[in-house]
Amino acid sequence: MTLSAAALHAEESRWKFEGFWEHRTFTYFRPAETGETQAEADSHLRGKLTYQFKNMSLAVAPDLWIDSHGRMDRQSASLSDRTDRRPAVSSSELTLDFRTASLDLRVGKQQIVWGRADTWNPTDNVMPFDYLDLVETERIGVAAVRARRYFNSASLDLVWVPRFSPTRLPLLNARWYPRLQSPSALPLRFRSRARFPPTTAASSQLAIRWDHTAHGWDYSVSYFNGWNDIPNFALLLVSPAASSGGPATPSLEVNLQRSFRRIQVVGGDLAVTPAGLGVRAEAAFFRPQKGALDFSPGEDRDYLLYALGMDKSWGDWTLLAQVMGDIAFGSGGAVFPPQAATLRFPDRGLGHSLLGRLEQSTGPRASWSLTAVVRLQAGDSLLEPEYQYQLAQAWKLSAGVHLLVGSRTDFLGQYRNNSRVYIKLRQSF
Amino acid sequence: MSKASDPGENPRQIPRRGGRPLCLLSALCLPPSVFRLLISSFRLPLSTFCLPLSVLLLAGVPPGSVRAQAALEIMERVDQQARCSSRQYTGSLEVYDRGGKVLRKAWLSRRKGFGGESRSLVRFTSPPEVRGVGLLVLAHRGVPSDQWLYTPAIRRDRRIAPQDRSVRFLGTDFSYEDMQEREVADYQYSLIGEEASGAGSFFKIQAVPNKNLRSQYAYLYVWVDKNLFVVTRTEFYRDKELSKTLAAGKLERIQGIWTALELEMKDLKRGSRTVVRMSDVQYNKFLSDDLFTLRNLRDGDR
Repeated sequence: MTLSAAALHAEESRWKFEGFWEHRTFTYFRPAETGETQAEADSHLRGKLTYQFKNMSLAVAPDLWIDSHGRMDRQSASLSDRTDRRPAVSSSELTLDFRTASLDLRVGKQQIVWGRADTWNPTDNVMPFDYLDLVETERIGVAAVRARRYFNSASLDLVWVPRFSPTRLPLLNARWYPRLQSPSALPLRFRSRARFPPTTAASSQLAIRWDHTAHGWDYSVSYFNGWNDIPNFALLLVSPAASSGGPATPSLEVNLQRSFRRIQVVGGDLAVTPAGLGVRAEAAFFRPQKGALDFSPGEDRDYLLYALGMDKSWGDWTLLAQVMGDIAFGSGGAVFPPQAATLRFPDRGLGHSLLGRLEQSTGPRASWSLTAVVRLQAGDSLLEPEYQYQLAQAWKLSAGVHLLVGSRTDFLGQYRNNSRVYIKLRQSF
Repeated sequence: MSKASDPGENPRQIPRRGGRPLCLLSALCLPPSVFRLLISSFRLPLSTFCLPLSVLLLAGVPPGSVRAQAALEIMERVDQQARCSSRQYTGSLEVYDRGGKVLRKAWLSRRKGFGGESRSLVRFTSPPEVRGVGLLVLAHRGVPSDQWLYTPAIRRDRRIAPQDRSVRFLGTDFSYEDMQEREVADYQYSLIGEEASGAGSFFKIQAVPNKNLRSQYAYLYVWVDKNLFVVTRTEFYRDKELSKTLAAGKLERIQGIWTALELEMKDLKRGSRTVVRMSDVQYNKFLSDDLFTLRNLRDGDR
């Protein structure tokens, strides 16, 4: 009887393991002002093990990172993802799922992705980003409880995030950290510390989303009440940097404190396909907590982010165009007024931008694409031509260029020394 | 839906005539449509079909009209023989590039309903790069179908425009149009003639898509086996240039439906070809409505 039951359970259970390994090399055209090498490499191994049993499943997705340039923290294994460097060992997912006829419940560290626009999603605020490399961004899973209830062609998501996870910013004094102009002739050296919100019930985050499909339209409305995972910066001290022995370049040391604003976001998105076009729209109204947390009083202004895009495919070609906008309400100052554009991250730095992508499949194994992000007022841009080739059944090779151009006082132009070529080799399993 | 009420419990329903769906290239899923084109069974002796044609010819009906009427009836027979309330199979395909290098893919296909009113879901199972990628198609008679493509790597389902018909499906030589369900009335037919070879005797039919179909093809030539009423070969023309060919092989009668278990699509311009093999084909099986939802598309057939 016991053996029969065990055999029955074995039949009803299901193990699944999948993942990939990717190795990337980057060669920069110019040396970094921060003194980093022009050649970098990193490797990422991700596996995902899923065990399914009747209407429950357990999933764990460990991540292993190594790199040549110190952005990974080789000493730590972490699930919290609050570290400045990316942990060498972590888990992007660790979830327990429970499923009934009309309800999905997921508990644990998970990936929650919202929005229907391409690449840039104003309503996608539950899960933070990893901006250690501002072009090759990653997502950071959040510890959350998510319930999704289905109603015929609609669904309602309820998300509770008890513990805050911040977006991981570029490392201080490194290639991708925003370039701020020194008030003197001396270069700036930054120090920073974070003040995270407390992990209490009152400090937890809530999100809700109603998603509906009807008459050829997909749309959703959503509400998020939580923390902006991009911090505000408070200037604590500017002083001549003390050298720790030996001759050093004189510099000004800037001590910044990262703090986080409570924020409410009301948003919506839409996808429809009239006359052979894919049309996608997404917008969100952000209402940050009021009051000066920092030396940039303008940062508490309400603002609206929106994206409107179209895509068209024909034959072996795909074309995508999307405009992305940012409207701020009220008035206020800005951080380092002459260069407010530089102390931004993609969430707002890519407002007032045009995204374009042209892709062609040149055979069963090969394709190329050209992606461009052009900021409409300043004209600084990112261009990325890329070629992909399927080497073998599970092996893919990609090669391309990240070309950053523009003025050093603009969001993308400040990184023009970071233009580079790359090669990626990926094995999926 | 209760099991008793499911169409799958009423196999081989007699199809309505007129305005019914054809699968000119129907459902391989990977290509549902191509698949349906190549499956058929026959119920009526061939003479019952040929008689009206002879009568019409003797009656002095203009040959053009005769050829059109005859071709239409042949294609309706092809469609009729392929009818089923549901279908499930596992498929594998090999995509050969111009140099003969091969990429292999595998998938599970499910379809419920038929032609203009059907739901289908294709889920790729290998290689790892595309594992979990799914295409959900809800076809509605007289209006464009709803289509979503789910990509696990970005965890998003994306509504895609059904008119993107010339686009290759995941790097194969099949386009989305090749995979779409069709109505018989979507084409104008003409019987070109009859051909015989060592493989059998065939009707050769020209099918011209109606303008409202917005087809990438100017016309097709279709070879129908005179005994089985199965399409065994199709040529696809863009303008007046032969663009693709599709050949069917390994015909087996499964649950009363003649089924081509092997298909080969050649893209003459690109110099590539895709070979599709089907196994575990099941017709008229009960398939829950829950399989054809966005929830299931995202969840990977759990």
